[in-house]
Amino acid sequence: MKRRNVFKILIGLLCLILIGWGIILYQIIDQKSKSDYYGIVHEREAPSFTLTDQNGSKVSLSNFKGKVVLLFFGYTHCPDICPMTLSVLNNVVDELGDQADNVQVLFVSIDPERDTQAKLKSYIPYYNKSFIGLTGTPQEIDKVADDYNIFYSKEEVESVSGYLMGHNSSVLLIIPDGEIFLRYPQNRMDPVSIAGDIKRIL
Amino acid sequence: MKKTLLPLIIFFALVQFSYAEDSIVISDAWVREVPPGTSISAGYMTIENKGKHDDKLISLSSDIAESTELHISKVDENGVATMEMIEILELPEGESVELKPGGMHIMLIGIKESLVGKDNVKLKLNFEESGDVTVEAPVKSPRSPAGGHHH
Repeated sequence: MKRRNVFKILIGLLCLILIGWGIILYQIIDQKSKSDYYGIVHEREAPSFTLTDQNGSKVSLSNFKGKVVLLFFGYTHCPDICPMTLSVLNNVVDELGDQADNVQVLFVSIDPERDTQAKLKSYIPYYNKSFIGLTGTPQEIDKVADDYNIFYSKEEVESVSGYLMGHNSSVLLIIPDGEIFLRYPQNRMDPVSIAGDIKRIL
Repeated sequence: MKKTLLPLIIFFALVQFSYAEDSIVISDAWVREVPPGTSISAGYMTIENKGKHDDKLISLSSDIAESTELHISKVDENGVATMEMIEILELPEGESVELKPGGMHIMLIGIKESLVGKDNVKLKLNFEESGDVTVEAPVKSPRSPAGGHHH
């Protein structure tokens, strides 16, 4: 009787130890697989928003449920970083081939004063016909940028270009279940590697 | 004596002339094609000072833009991209400076005609010592590296 109890306790302990090992092992594997991504793992719920696209339609993040969304905040009077990033995103879409149908690139203007719907219409499809450019009232843009922790401000530069904007230039990758999963800062802009991450997710 | 001296003078004059011409060497120049109606773009290149003295890039101009300025893009640790204007670019003897996307670039402001379909853009760089250097920078489409395939 006593011996049987001891045996039961031992079995119980063994099970606990095995479960513990299992959890540790799972975490190690999980951590390792996450670090294998080219983008920086972010894991945060993607706040919902509704803005106006280049055709004047209201567009919400929820419209793209089931797709991978690549979200980028920029402005059309941007001479260097924004065109470069849009060009990279076009290459990502090219790289994905048929899988590109499950990906949506969204460009949110942080310069709604100058980036009207008409301006976006002549700008965004040039980079890729599937891209959607979004604008809104300054208040709407403020809210979306704030929700996504995207800093932006008019820059005090003595240039004849009117004004330039300082802005967070990272591309955010939102996975189909509505989570910001990866972030690509400007030093991680290799289209083939970004496409590789998306292929793994899809 | 005179007969040998003249060619020698011509030779040295030519050497000196070609040397002065070559003190600033510009390579890999290009300008980014932007959507029609966009008033701003950027040009890139490598500028090398092969001369025997330090030099400075003091001004720029282009026929296609109302104004041309040298800027540098900077991205801080929080991912915020900003730009700074460079008034004078120092080019010490023997050094080269690379203007590339995400870094230093020639900002073309107030583009007068669409760059779409244009082959080249003339950029004039004015150096303190070497004077004006003009380059024909090819216009590159941002869609070209992947072959312009669309979905």
